Amino acid sequence: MIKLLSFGDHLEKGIYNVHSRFDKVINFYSGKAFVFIVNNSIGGGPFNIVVDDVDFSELEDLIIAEEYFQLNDEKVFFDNSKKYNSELKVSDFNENKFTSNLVFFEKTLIENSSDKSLTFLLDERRKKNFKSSYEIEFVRRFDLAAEYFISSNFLEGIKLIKGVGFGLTPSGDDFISGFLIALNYLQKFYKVDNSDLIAHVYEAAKGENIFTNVFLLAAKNGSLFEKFKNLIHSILYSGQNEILENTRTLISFGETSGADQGVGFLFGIKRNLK
Amino acid sequence: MIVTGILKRGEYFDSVSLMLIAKKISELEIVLDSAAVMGTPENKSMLQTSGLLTDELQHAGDMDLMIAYKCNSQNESNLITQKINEFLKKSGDTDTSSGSQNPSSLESALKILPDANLVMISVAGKYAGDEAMKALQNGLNVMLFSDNVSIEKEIELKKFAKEKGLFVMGPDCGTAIINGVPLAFANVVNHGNIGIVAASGTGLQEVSCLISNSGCGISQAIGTGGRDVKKDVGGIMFLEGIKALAEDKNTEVILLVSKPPADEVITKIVELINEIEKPVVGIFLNASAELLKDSKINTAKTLEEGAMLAIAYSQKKNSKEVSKRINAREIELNKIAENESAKLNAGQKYLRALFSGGTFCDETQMFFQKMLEDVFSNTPVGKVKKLKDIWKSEKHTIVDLGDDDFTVGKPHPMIDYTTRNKRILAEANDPETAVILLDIVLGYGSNMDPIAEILPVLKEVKKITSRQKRYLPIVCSVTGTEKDPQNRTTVATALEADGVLVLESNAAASKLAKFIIEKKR
Repeated sequence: MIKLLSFGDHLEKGIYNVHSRFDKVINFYSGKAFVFIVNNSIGGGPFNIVVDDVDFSELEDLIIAEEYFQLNDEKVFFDNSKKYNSELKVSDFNENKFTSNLVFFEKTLIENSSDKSLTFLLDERRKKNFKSSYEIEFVRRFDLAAEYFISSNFLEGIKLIKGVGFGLTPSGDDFISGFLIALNYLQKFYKVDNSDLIAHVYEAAKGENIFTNVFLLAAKNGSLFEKFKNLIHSILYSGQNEILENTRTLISFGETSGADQGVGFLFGIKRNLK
Repeated sequence: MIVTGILKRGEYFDSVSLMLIAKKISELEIVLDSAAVMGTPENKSMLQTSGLLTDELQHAGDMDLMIAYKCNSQNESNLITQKINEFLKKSGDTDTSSGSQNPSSLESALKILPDANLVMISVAGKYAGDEAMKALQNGLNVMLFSDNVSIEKEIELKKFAKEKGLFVMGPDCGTAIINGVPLAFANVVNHGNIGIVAASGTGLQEVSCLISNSGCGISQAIGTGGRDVKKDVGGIMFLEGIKALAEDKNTEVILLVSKPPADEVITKIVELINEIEKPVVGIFLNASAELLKDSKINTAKTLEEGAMLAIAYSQKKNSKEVSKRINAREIELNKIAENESAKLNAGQKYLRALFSGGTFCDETQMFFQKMLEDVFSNTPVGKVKKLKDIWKSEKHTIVDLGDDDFTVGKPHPMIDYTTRNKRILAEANDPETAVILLDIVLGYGSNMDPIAEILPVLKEVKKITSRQKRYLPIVCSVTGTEKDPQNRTTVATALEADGVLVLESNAAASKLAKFIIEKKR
């Protein structure tokens, strides 16, 4: 019997088929929306259904209805107490605390992330980990894009990096989604209006990759997956131990995805701090 | 030169698998250049810039996997393609061909193996405790590999297990050998009459290998996780382990291994041992001798001494021979140290010990404690000082690279040598480094080809020191057995051929390193 641990607040009704299958995640696609069936080590998210006691290898069909979801032949009713809230409420904002925690987050990210992550944009010394001609071109592009981002020429920067990198969500797209999250939450921290910029960045970044587009859309709307939500919460309100733990959890996502998103987030936030 | 492109339509790989495949391809000697990425237009454009975009790959879509490589001939290209297909197959394989399956829940695992009586749990810490409780409620013993389980949960699990007559090994238990089966990081050892209870994974590996290499063997090796012997948990499973071995008819000698238990726990252990007829040897690294002095426990100062004492009791030999053998070996080590220190420059004065095994880090600190003012570690023991920056050595530095600070998002250094290799090169570049001390731990769970990982780095060390007109001794212990998949002799021989001073135990290696430094002073 499937045990429902949490379900996302942005699930779309529909009939879904398996798009891609991994150890802890099955990605279902309806032709217009994604739903991710995940186990509890992945955690909550706007499009996630977190389940326990399920043999992932046997999952084939998913239906999302108003009041329930059906995996293979088993129907599970949504229990509203298990609904995951992907929005982070910002009740009060202490800029000094946030800034000093951000410095610690950056240091932790550099020290702990994988060799092939985008943290070379924060620490030049990490460039030495990129050796093949593809990797050298990868570094060159991101360096150039970083200059565009620093000079607020975001759209040129995005052209250079979208779709670039490894995995189903390439490094460039992870960076941009982190950047979008930053733009979104800067609005809450500083009561500024970034809505036009967010819309432009999103339009420039979305492309043919339906999978990446889901994550970009979530970032555009400020909908956070649990790992990132916990991280931002700890940077806002907690101490170094929590930031360390949440950074480690974030970068455990994919080989570089979590770290790349973190770098994009830092680029976005630093823009405002400057 | 030939450029080959392989297009895998609709084959999804998570970034971890993809980068692992990319790494394996780039490590093939005949590959001159390579990339393995998804077929986005931007990645295609980058492959083009890199001279790796073939006609076939131009048709790749966003959801297709592109692999491209350069080599010198068509024959090489065929060979590389074959290898890549093997890598991809392994990566996507659930290995049903070998009969093993990959259940994703305890329930489905029990459907496959209804008679199982032990479950190994390795999931994120915050979920691991609940999984363990579920297993106990199903009447299963638990090996809890996961760390980051709360102390409250650990106590709850262990109390429940004790009531039910079950075992909980862990949390953070990386090693056990049950009924001859090595679990997690463990070695292939002889079966025999020595039973081990250990609150130290590397400690368990070291003593079980030393025992096996002497020709003796292990009945059972029970890991408890390091926190079990601390005050809060109170040694619940350590004590249950001792009781089980006391009752086990195949166990004639009991060997206990731990970092210092809490005083309360030592007291309980001593009380329990006093009721046991079988000989008991105890290694409580850095523990106060006072608490143990009136007990029946035969205490040893090092893992090696503990193993040797257990062997002596197991063979019904005189245990006093052990200290004689250790003393005789020290004379030999002193001679080697004299030769080595004579080759050092005046400025070379400090030890740089880079361990993958946490217990070795503690054990070595014990040897260097007398140099109090000058000894630093990321996991200091006793009066050793804490490193200000774990990534940078100060004076005598003894580092546990398996500590959480080094392993987030990365495999353990027994598996992935990258972090240690970088540090070895950094230490070699420091003109004050007098000795580099290393451990190589073999067995299941560890890197299957340690020589391929470390030898290129050691060769680079020679180049660095030769350029700087220095000699730098590298001392290394190899923990493993002839039956391990890596084979201890093969590994030790390859290291020695490259000039490494290979010792049979960490205690011996640490002593040699210490003697070299002392003679230099």
